[in-house]
Amino acid sequence: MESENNHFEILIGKKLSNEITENELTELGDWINLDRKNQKLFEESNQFWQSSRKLFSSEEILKDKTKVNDQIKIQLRHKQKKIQLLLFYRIAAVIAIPVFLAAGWYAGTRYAGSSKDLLCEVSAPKGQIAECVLADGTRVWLNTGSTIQYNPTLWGKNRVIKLTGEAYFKVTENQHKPFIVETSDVQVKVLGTSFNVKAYPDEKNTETTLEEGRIQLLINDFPEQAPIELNPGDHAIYQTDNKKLNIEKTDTYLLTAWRDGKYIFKDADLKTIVQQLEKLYDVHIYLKNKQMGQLRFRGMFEYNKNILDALETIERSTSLKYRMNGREIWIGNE
Amino acid sequence: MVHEYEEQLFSKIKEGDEDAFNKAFDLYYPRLCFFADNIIHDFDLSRSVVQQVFVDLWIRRTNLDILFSLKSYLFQAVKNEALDILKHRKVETKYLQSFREKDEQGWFHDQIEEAELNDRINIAIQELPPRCRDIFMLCRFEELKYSEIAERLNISVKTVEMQISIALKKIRTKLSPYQSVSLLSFLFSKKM
Repeated sequence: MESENNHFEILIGKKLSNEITENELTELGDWINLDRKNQKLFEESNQFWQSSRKLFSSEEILKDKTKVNDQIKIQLRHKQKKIQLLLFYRIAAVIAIPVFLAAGWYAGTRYAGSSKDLLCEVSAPKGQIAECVLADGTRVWLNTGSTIQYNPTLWGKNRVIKLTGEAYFKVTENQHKPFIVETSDVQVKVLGTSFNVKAYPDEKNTETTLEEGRIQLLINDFPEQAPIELNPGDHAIYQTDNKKLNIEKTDTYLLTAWRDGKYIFKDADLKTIVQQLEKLYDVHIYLKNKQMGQLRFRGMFEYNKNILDALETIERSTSLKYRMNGREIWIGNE
Repeated sequence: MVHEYEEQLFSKIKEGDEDAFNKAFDLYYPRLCFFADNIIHDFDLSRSVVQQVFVDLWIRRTNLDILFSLKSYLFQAVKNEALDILKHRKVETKYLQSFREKDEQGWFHDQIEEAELNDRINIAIQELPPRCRDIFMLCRFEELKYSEIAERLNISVKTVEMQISIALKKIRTKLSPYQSVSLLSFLFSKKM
């Protein structure tokens, strides 16, 4: 009986693998028809034979499992980065400040003294950027809370401009009349070029960034010192408290994009952003602790709209919460 | 019982339990691969489709609301991906259309059953004694003739015949707990 069963088991195997002879096939057919049990046996064998098309080994499955877990790690990392970037684009959208175009020039221009001694003043109020064109065609972009003063009647030899705050200059070339930007700490002398000077009274550094052309930098603390020449791409930082000058190469757009309404932060920490917001919106922002200020962000943002949106965006992207009372804002963990 | 275990698996995955996720992978990954392969007939592509479904499951776990069971979610997700792949293969639009016309729920159910059978067979084959398994694989998957197998392994054709019959018997035994109801009732009626 056992050996007979084995015999038909072999025939089933031969049938399924196309090894069966005519005679054997007849024999198998007879056996199948003999008993429903035999028929079942054959059908079951046939079914799994047809249903087995390949071997999916446990080694391969394990390999795929590792792949899935690796992929998850990669995607989560990628997602985090994307959230960070998104955050910045969002901030970009929410904190852009209205840009005062040429209107700023008229609105902010005041006449002081007699008509002979014509002192012009252009300012960009807090939270706004102003752009103006001077009498010689030089274009000036004033960053928030910045002022320039000049007297065109005194422009016989030099075109002198006094700057408080930050401005970007696109100076009309005039070999005979150098253009001089005076701040409390440095003087920048140019012939024709584009550059940025940042000299806010409440900041320790005076920063000069040269985009095109050539400029000379004079430091007021060292009047005897020969002017320092800057080349395009140079970013000169004068530290007023310890009287040190540092010149480094930089991507100038990062430092001058504010005139397009963009503030570009590269690896900025929360502290830097908070300082920027304070300046823009004339508010005080308190961070609950110092470590919080070291929270780093990447990406670029342009700002728009109001500070509430900016704060809410910070809230959304970090675990921080803010509280606001008038012009005072606290940022903390709860 | 199985259903309860499944429900637990899913709620644990939602809580971020990696062990539960790995268990779900072990349980469903192979059969989902077979399921996808039964539709798109490309096993490597099936594997990457199913892998992506598992990646999504983990990444989007907190946002997922699974109405029925983890199992039906997984099969549904793989089905959608597989049908999408078919849609992009212009040659097979006819095939796609043909089973659009079929009873889709019924089709889906049958496909899942088929995939689960594939999975059980796959396990059963791997559990065969090594020599028996090798011979079975050469015969079934590489479609070698008995004589070719005998030559390759330096054994007699009789041994190949015997080993194939052993493989059939062992695999059938492994599958028997899952045998269809009709078979069970047949056996009972026979006994009585």
